[in-house]
Amino acid sequence: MSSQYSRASSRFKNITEFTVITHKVEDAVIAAVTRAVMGIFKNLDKSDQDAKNLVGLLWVFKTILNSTLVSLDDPALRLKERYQEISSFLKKQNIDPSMLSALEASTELLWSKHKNNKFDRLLSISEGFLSKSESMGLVGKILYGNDPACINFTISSLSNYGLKFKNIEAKQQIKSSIFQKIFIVSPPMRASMDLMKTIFYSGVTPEVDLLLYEHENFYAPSRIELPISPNFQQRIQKFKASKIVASVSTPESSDSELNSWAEESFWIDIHGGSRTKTAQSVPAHYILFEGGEGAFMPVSGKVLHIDKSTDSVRQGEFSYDLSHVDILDLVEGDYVLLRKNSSGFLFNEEVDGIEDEEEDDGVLDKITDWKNALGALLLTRDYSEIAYLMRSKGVNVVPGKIKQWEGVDVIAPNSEVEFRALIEVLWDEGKLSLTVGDIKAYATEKWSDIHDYRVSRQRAGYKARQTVLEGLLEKIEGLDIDSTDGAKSLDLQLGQNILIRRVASIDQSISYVYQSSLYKIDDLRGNKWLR
Amino acid sequence: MEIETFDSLIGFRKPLYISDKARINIAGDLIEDWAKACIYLGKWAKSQYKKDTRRITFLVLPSREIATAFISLGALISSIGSYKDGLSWTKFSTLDSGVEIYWKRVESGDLFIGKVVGVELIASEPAIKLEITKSRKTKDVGSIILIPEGQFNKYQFSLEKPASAQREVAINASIAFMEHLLGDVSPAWAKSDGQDLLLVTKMNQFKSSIDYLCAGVGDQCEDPIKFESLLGFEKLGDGRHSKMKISHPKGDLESSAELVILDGPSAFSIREHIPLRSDLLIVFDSLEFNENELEFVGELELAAETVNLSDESSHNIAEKFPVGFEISSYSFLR
Repeated sequence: MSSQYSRASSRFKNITEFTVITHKVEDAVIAAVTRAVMGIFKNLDKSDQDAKNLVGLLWVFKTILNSTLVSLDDPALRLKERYQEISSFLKKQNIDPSMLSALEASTELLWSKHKNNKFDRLLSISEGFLSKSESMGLVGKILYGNDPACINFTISSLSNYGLKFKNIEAKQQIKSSIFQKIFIVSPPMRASMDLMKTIFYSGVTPEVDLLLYEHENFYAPSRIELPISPNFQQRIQKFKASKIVASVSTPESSDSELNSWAEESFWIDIHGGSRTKTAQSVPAHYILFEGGEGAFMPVSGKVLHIDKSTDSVRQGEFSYDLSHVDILDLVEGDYVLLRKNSSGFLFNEEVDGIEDEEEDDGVLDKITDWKNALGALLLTRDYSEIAYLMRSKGVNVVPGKIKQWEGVDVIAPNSEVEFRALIEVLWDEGKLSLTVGDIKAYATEKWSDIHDYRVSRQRAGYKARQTVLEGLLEKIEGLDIDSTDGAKSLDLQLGQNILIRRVASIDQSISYVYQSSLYKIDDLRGNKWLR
Repeated sequence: MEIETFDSLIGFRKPLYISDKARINIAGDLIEDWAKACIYLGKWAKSQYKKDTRRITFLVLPSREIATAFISLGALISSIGSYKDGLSWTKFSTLDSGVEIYWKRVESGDLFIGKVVGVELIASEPAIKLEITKSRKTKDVGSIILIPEGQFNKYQFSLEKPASAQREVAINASIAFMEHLLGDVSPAWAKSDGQDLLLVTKMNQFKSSIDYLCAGVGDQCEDPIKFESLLGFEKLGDGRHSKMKISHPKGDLESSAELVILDGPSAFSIREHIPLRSDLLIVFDSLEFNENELEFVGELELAAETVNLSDESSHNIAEKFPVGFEISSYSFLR
């Protein structure tokens, strides 16, 4: 395994040389099937429930067809069975017969197609790497943590040709690797955006090869760049993103429409959460795990995350730690540790940690009562004016900070100096109750309470971690969980109430659900999108 | 106009070699440009310190996994260059009574620990009055001694506990290395009091990133120095003679350092805990830089003093950074 210095040097070199090559692959049969699918999609009444099911099946069928590298007549793809199910739905729809016969005729050709043009192209491009030790990467597992396009099988077949490939599924797998080349075998519609950005912007490879059929298009992921300050502007050599952009072509509108439809329908079919807020609902994200389970988790919640120790990776051994991470910070490929209570619900780790503490009732209200005064002041002054008033007390703060202090996400300023200045401003402006009396003593007492509260929260988190750390981490010690096939290989017999799951996909759109729906594990293995 | 290289801007007198294989191969281990740029940037950021203005610099790189080690080295190189004096007579004579102090008699090498009692005049010459609290010779303990200004140089005084013999060897090796690399280096710098740099990072990751890293300079490559020794950072619970302190974001952030390096998002999240007297250098990788950080930089831009492109700080910036470096730097009234 390369050292961090060598790896970092390779990354800077790769960024300098980074190139994207688009290989357009011809395949008249796949093009004809895709065209027929698109034609039917455009003509369906999408408000009809059967039509909705049909579109989902068509999308999965089309996606497997375009992204697999296996011969199309290979039974492992289950294309015939999938098509039979599609046919039964098609019969119930009022569709132009010419469209049906076009689909029928083109799919007939699939069953006898004992080759895969993308695979052949990949082999010819990779010839130069035969018997070389350099590793190449393949991004192809595109369906929510499942592998219906049989990419794992392809990877093992490639080793028979003397080619060393790694199946890239998640960012975690590649952040400490360097690849000679990375192949992307289809538009990464369901691949993690983080993974795609890592491939394009982290220098993990000097070359990305896109294998696209004539009708396929590729969108390069974009990232937020640091705005360069004037004193450095002439000195920075921008990463030539144009190399990426040059290979992007305009998508066909129907293709784009189907993908957007599939994206939204997928999540609605999976979790059924409402996109509209109601008085009783709470905002949540749906997390889908590999293996077909999923759960709603609150937007502001936390989950126990299994962190791989970098130190251990270097030495080829693997050890892990646990940390609480925000739900919003989870990405596809992350391993999380879930704990179920006796009713089968998952613990809310954040709340669970604090519950162990002494009485929390009213403490938070007491230590943040000054926020009411700040709210009152904001009726007549804006954030910058308050920042100006604080500056007159000798404390420089940006207006954005005051906005944070007013909100519920931040308990109080992190700096005592800033807190004292804020309290003085609130007092000067007549927003604190006259009963406060000695303003300095008030600020001292309040700051001490805030400090104690923060310490107790940290202690609670620590305690929560300790209860699960012991024993559990020993069980995964030595295993490279990123090289396993998701949850399947991780049958660690942890007990019924502890689960390790790999995140397959996250619904980035917020759903509004009842509190009771949070942390409840759904079994989605039979869902049409996940078969 | 001749374009200055990173080597000349940093002040390298001889080529620097970096390896992660415990030995240096002169043919292939010349330091990479990106690492040199990081050293330079650390030096630049540290050298920008001004009492009345605070500088905040944001650096985004394709990968930051080992970059902060080189940035830290650069900051320490800047400190070496600007180091003037150790515990001077002026500072020494103003210490409060009761302050614990360590000293060595230069001629004999005898070590003492004691307390400042006060200042007295001996025939109109000021003298520091010290009480010995620990000495190799038991009979000295409890003695009061007077050290006049004229005798000051016969002793080496420090507010920090003297380094252990093992640490002393490491410090001396580090000073020797820096002398080869940079030329004139004051040996007193490494042994002087206080820290020049605080690095807030995930400590275990940082330490393991430099575990096997070593450096060699010019013709001295046969005897490379471990990067960890070169940085000489404070070990847990032992801050003696460390010019650099590293701390976990949730750890002890107390430091007198003029420059604080915040390595990654967790370190960035505690930025408000860093006192205004310290400048900040924030390091992110290109995927970690998101909307929140963009907003932060936007606020910096709005609040910053107008950047004068003809001022000294702009002139002293390297001409070109390697591809992948994104830098923004602003200064404000403290």
